[in-house]
Amino acid sequence: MVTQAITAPKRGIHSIREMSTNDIERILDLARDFKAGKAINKLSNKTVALFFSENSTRTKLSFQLAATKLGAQVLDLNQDTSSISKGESLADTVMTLQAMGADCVVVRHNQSGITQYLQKYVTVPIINAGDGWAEHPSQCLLDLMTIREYKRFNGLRVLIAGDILHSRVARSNKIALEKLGAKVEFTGPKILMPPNTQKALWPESLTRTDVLILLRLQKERQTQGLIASLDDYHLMYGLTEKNLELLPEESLILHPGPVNRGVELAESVLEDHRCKVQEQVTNGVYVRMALIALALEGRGIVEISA
Amino acid sequence: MKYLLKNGAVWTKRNRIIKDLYIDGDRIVGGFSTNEADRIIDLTGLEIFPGFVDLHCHLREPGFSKKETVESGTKAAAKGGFTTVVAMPNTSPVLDNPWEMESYLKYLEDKATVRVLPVAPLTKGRQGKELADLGSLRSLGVRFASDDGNDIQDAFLMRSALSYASDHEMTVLSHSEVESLAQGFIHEGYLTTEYGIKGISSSSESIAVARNLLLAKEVDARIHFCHLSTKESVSLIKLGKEMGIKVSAEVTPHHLYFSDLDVIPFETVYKVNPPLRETEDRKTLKAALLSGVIDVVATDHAPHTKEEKAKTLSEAPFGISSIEIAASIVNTCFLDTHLLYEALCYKPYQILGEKNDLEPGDLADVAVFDPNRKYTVSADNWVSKGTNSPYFGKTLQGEVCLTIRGGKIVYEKK
Repeated sequence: MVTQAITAPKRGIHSIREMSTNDIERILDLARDFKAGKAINKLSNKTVALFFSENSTRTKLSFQLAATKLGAQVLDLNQDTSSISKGESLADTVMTLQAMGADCVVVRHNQSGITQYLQKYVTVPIINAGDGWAEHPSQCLLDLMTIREYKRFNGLRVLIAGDILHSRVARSNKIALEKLGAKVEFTGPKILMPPNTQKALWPESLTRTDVLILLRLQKERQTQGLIASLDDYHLMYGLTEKNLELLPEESLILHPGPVNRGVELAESVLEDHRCKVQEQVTNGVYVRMALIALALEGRGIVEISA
Repeated sequence: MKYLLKNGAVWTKRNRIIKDLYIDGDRIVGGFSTNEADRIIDLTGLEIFPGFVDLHCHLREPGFSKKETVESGTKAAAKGGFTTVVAMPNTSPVLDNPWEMESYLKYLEDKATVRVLPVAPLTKGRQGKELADLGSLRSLGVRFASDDGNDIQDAFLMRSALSYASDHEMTVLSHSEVESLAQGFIHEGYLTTEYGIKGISSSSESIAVARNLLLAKEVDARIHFCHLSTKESVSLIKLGKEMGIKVSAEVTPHHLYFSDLDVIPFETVYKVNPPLRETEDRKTLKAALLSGVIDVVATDHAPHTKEEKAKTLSEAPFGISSIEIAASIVNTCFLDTHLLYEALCYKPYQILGEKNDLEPGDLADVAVFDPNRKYTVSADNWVSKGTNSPYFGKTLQGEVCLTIRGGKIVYEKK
């Protein structure tokens, strides 16, 4: 049985596409304030449900920590042991979480567009923690927060390198950075570029790059017949020590993690002063605090004073 | 019953003549005196076509009667002006043996409002492994064979199937598809790049069209290509015809009406296989239908339940329900009654190996069409059980107002 979907005004946090630059800046400002020690303590009776049906350690822990820091309870639904494995539909599952009293549901799933779909069935806000190949708003926003600590967006030259086709991070970042006035280029193996996508020259483009975002290569791309070998990938498309020399001194290197050492980047890149991977992880918690707080504010549950 | 259809424009042998049409019993007759008529119907300003033929629809029985039944599907067909429909074999069970097919033919006699020609599967259970008993199925009168949405991936077996079908004078209906390139949900192009949706490449169709054409040539089989969607496929069909291959092809109303730019991302009502392609493809398909490279319009009417289409984009089934408005869609696209006649009557009857010229002696299968009437498609008077229609709310021009099957009025617009 499928329950009738309700139609309701825009709720939840689903995609960068539907955010204005003001929305983005408000989130980044709030995340910055949280990082600087701002506290809101009205969430002690609130519950944030985590519904992650794809493997994810860091995003899930980051959301969990963010909810805890806001004083909320965390309800963790593990798909392997949940009723989803007994055949319950995703819509029924989020409706159950809502009925149990969850005030907000954080969803990670391998189907593109899933959070907008699920939002039609519940009134509590859903936060997208990564949907298929489509979007990864919280990862994008933590990248933006990290970049903003060093750079201005307007005119910024950003190069995103790797498996663009399957990357929700690349998609969200391109949309967000272009809204903010940056210039975004993609590069990677041709077969991993979506149709009709311009491909920047690699490694030549590195010399005019302000921010390099490297993407994680899923190792199963080799058995899927999409790449030849990890070694070949590293030599042809990776940030090798030699390629690193092309990158300007004051540029930034970002990576959504987890990193494949020796595949998308050489081991030594992680020690380079331009590499901000650890700061990204730190900022991720503050960005997710902001997303949870704003999602609940949208429901009138909390007030965030300026 | 005796009907006198007065003052309509009658389409016969590729001509349009304003004249009266006399129906007596199940046949067209030369005439009778006016006072003998049980009913006189004035059709001034309307087009009288031979009953439309749909070479491709899904009636869902046996097995999926929640989506559609023979009864509801053929009523919808009658509303669409169709007097003959060819029903695809993706049923459960698959009717791959003569005894099941025989009882199904009896069931059709009992339930169907219009004539239904069931299609035999090419392989047992449509599994793509062993040939089905095409010889015995042919002797029951089954004229078409197809594994429907599951194109036989093994080229050797496909060639055998084509050869075996042609041995029994059956035409193979080919849904040409390379499955490994068709694992997505919408056309691989602008939207898949933009929204991160898994795509279905144009090559998934055109490569298979090329393969199946050449296999048909090699074994001298008759092949009909279903629901072509790409410009590359059109070029290949043109080449096939130039090479003298016994080939015909169809296009659906939705591939003529929509392109991928009309698709609302993640809306399952637009999820259809083959997917709605690019503007260039649509233009090429329209031109090919006008020039005769593509022979006919067939609906690929694929009804599904609300619950199934309410699933996510990945989980919801492919398909659009359209049989009852198909002629209106085609007319809206072309505003050309001659094309309507060619694509829904003349060419499909040729493919069936039949004649219907609305001449004395012909079976009284008739579709009366008002090419000027405009209306907005609504779910309110929808006949098919499948309400999976992206046309709701659209205004179409041209409407069927009367359908006669074997001398019986099976649909009349109130």
